[in-house]
Amino acid sequence: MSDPALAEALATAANSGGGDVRALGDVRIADLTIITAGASATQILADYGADVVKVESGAWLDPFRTWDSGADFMESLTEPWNQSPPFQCVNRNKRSLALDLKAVAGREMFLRLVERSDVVTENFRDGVMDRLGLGFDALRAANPRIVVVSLSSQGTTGPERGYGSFGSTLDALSGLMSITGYDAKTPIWSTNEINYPDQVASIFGAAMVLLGLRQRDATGEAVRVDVSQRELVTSMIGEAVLDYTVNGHVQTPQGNRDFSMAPHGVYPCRGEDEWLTITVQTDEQWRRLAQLIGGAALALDARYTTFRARWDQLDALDALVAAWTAKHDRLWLMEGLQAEGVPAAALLTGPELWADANLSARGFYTEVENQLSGPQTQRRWPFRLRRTPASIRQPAPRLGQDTDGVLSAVLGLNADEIGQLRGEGVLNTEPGLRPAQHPATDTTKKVAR
Amino acid sequence: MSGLSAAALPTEQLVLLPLSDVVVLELGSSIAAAYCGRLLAAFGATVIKVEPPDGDPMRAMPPFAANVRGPEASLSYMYLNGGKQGITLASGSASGRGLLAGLVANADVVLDAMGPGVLPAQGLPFAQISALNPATILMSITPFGNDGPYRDYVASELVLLALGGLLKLVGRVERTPIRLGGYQAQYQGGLAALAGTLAALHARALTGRGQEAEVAVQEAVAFTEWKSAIYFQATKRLRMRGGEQSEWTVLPCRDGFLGFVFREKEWPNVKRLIDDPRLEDPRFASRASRLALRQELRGLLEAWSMTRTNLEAYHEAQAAGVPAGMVTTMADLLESPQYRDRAFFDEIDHPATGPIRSPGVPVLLNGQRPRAGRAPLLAEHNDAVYGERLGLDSGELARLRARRVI
Repeated sequence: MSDPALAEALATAANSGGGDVRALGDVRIADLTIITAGASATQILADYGADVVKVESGAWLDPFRTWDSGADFMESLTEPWNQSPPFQCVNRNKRSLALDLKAVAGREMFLRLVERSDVVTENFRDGVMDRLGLGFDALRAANPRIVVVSLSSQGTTGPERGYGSFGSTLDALSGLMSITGYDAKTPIWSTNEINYPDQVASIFGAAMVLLGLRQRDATGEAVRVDVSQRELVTSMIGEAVLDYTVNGHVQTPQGNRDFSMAPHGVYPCRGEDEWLTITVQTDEQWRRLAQLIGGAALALDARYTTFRARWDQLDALDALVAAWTAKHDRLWLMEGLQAEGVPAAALLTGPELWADANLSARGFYTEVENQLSGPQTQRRWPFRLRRTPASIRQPAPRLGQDTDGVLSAVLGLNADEIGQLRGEGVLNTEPGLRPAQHPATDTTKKVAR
Repeated sequence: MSGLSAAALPTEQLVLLPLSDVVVLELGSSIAAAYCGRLLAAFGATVIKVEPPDGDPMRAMPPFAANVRGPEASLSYMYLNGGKQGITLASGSASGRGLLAGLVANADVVLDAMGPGVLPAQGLPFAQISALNPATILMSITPFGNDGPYRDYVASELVLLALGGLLKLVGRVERTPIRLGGYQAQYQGGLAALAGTLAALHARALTGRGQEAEVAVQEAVAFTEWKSAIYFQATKRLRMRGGEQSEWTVLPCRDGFLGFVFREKEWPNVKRLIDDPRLEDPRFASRASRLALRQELRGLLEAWSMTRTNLEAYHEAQAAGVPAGMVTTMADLLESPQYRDRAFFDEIDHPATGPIRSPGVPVLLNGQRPRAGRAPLLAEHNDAVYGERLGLDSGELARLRARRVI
């Protein structure tokens, strides 16, 4: 029982005196999502018990299976498409059904799956579903109660619906980038290292699947859910938008400064590229910080006792704080300042999060044994439900590993029918990994991540 | 004040909203909880926001309408509380506790952002809530969770970005790490709470029971910043801020900036777009050499971008198959044909501002956008909520008001 999620699920089931009820145990999703924004959304739902049937094929892979990870190590692997690190992290608990949707029989099988599903999810670029003959009307004809969720860059309507995007370009288009940066001349985006909106879109996307299901249950009819990632990020900077629509003020990047707190910034610490953030919200917090920096003399220094006074000499103040932090260890500073009630925190890197005291104590990370590539430390979930907890039941699927099971148990095909589809190449699980001819290459160009 | 044009203002409304049968009680002062509540309200829930008698501290959060502080002037409050009902309650007082218990018992969902241990200290541990109403869902929203060593840490936007891994990864590699604009960590917490609330409502339909749910904003941020750790495991290479390992670059235009992105397969499109023979130089033929010569390449791209507005450059790049995005300002957003076509902005009429535009919810349901109304004035719905939901008469309300309980 190395999986704390499983342990938690069992403990909860025991405490509630009932079986292991899964929050979304009655939901089946015919899942066409790929890369992060989409695949991570359906993973959240799979973690909470939805039966997510991920549909791909050798002719048409989730590009994350062969993602350029900035290293050549993928080339040395057997079946690299079944070992891709980012793919494994956002596809656990899903089943993999290999179907070539461009083949007539493949499309037909997909529509049979839709008939037996509650939800279809996709994050292709606009037009791909229609070209596959899988537009909303076709899906609704197959299942008049289907919920169809699109997670696209800019929505499925409007003049820019077909525009391509790569994560951070939506930082730019949403307005977020215009208020992120060192100054008005240096806007900063989250870059390829983060691709910010992808991740938040995945959480919102999971929520919108559930909202669509609720709407379907209320109306008894099919629901089309059209999420725009660009709009999502604009909705996450609402107060800056209102500063313009109400005051006519166009906000610009202000570095790490805040108009109501000082000091408020990121300061260097002992070591290379190590940092601490300090955000002093009250004069009392300043007094405590100043006591640590310079004793009673600084704590009582009238030049700094009020916010207004500190704001008026921010550069001097920041230099004073930075000179102090530079001499000390960031974790030691965080603990000492937090013990005094001063909001401060060490800047952590991704791998350092594993060792973070709070995330460790709360079991945020867990080790998942992948089928070919072995153990991988993965994040768990963005929220917790105590009576119907999430769990990790299986690692990300090998391409097509559940094809026969889904075709027989869900779609009701017999062995002969499955054999015939396989003979026609509809169930192909052998990717042609030559990029120039690889259909997935076209797909990556067309997707909104 | 920006004017309201007649173009494409929203008039449609969904006849039936998916959460119209759900009552939500929002406790505490938190951007994460408020954003979650705002979205739930737009999707049809009745969201009752409980403030202390002198108002939610968020009413003092900038920016302010006309740049003047005042209880109804905070644009942050105005945005994050659109569509809610507002009541006041001194929940720590003896009479306040009774009212709080009544409100909780009448709620399908309680968004609790009062902090670890506060609700139990006011006589409402989950066991008690469950005894009052077994169907109630308690969604706790805290910076660091209700247990764990940081439980009592003092949080702020930068603290949460730092401890979720997002702060160190943004900015230029040779400079100080930089925050994402606004309050992204806390808004992420709000999205996690939205997803968790909807999942708990779904589970309730299966089991008939409510339950405890929890969001720690630090975890929501760490959920978002997952890639560094995954790639580090695979390659032992640490991702660094700056994005210097790719061709991505921010180009200056005549009037602003353009986020310029291309990969190997878009390189021919870039050459077609820029239309500069120097790009045919064999030194630019491979990705590796383009990366090595990024400054020189950037100079050629700038020669193109500086002769255009960023709006022109954006559309030209997209037409050529280069997935660039313009650095859109707040003013640009209001002019965006895409946003106008999809009627993204809500039209809100608030007494403190008059009619204004406000970002809508980022989703269409069957082609229609759910709309939230304006934020409540302080204590605006006291009579309606305490009178109609809890059945207090006007004499009782007057006594509670006189004693500063509400």
